Amino acid sequence: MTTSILLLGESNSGKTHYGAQLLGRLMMRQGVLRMNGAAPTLGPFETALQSLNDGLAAGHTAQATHHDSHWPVIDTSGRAADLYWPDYGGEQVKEILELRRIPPRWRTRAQESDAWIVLVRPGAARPAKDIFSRRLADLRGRRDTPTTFRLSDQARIVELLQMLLYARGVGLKTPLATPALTLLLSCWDELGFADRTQPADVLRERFPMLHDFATSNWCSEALTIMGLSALGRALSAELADNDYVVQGPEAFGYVVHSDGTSDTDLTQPIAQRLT
Amino acid sequence: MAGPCPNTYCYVADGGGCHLGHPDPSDCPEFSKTSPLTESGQTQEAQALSGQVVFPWSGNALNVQDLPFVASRGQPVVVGLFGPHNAGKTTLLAALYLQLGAGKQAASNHRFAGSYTLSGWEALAHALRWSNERPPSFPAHTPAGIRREPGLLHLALRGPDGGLCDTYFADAPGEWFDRWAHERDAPDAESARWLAARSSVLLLVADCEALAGTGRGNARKIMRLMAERVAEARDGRPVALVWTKADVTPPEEIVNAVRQAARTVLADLPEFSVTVAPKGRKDPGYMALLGWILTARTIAYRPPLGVTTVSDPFLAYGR
Repeated sequence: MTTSILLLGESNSGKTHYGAQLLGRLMMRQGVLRMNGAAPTLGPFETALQSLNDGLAAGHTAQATHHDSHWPVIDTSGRAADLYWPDYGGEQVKEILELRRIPPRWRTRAQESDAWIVLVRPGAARPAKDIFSRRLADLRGRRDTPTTFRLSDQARIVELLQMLLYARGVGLKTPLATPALTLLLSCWDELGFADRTQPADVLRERFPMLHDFATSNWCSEALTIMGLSALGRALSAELADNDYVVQGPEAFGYVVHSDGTSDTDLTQPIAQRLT
Repeated sequence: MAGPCPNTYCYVADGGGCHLGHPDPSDCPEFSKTSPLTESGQTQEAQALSGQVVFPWSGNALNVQDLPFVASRGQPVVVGLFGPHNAGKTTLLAALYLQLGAGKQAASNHRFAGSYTLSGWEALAHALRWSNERPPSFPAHTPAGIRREPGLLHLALRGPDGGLCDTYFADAPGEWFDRWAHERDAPDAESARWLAARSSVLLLVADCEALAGTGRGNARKIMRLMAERVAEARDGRPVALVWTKADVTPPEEIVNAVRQAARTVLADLPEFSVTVAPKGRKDPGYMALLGWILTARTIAYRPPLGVTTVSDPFLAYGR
């Protein structure tokens, strides 16, 4: 039976670079997962991989047309999966949250997928300092006037997951076994954590509400929290990284397992979801 | 934008979800009722929305009419906060949300499991956050406006036994209760009476700052009246006395007078102290209060039976 896996993330979540690096690993058959025949749609991820081969960060091109990538993959044991990226740069996720409607294609993916992999970027989260974490000497006399505001980063991801669960028709009365959920903490290298730092601890520290939402609503067997550094280091969009040019992007990037150990096989987060 | 639905409770035209619970409004028989059909056999409005999922929640505070949506997965608990103007009711709610957002658990070990009013919560809480432009301040006062029912802020919390508790906190303007305290049956106290009748748990909110200030005598009197009103409306439901702005210490005789007045009319009255400015490492008190709310024996709010004709069991019965 083929596992259907949905990959998504907001803009600036590291999705483009992960997609490009993952594509490279799948095509080179380096990891436990490899492309199963010819992928029907590579499109912008292939362009991004070309940038990486030139030692440059992938440029972000807003996708006016909705680009739905589908990659058929297979692991070394012969288990097959379909990977779906319904959204290249994260623009559609932004639209879903702002317009509060899910397009038909997303609804189908939400309903039919066996697992969701969501990229979140702890390094991009705005510091959530409030009156409790950073005291104000005297609050008296200070009264807010209603202004516009933006949902906090973690509230946005919680809302996105709530919307997808509704689109799937799944209630939360009891913790979920399906769809399985992997939270992939991206751009791990920019966080500067010590070796063996566990991703769940990072999620609890940087996105505590999201951590509680996920651990409350998914069975422990159906929830995985991993770290990801797709590039292994920061790349510039203008100045080429010579190591990348010489060794190739396939020599860089790693994932962090739940126990804190690193692994250069970037296909692992997907491979672990195959049944 | 969709056209109006013949169902007067449905706000699909304003970007809301289908009142009968159809994720795709074009499937709803009400929505398709009166408009002329296009060549495809759908109304123009239905065609515009066809295939899209439209959510029955906006993220803002819910109205009473919205309750059946979440009531489908179990009987919700409505928490009414009863206290005079400026007692800190809105700040209490904002602080509660911030504490949960920081990963705190209720004293009953319940954890955050979701909310269908995240925008509503963030609208209150953002005032208490530091930003580049300004330091924290108290949230704006809840406007009285012309609404007769409070906005309801939703929290889903998962208990240690795996059970889910849907809780609604009523954010109501203090002016409602000021009027109700002085004259229970006044026409313009209808909203406070409405809340008193429907809350599953009642919190009597005492403002330590007001009880310590120059108007403390009057503040004490208001609290006595408020306690009497809550006692009249109680009908066996759990009530707690919540001291807000507890970083301020009112004179002991005032505290005792308020406590005595409340306990005279309200038996079994636990007390909680909360503050956004605790001294040193002292606990702000919100998670202890939340733990009590979640474990007090409650009469769950029972919304009026709606007519739901959806075939999706998720909406009709929950899972």
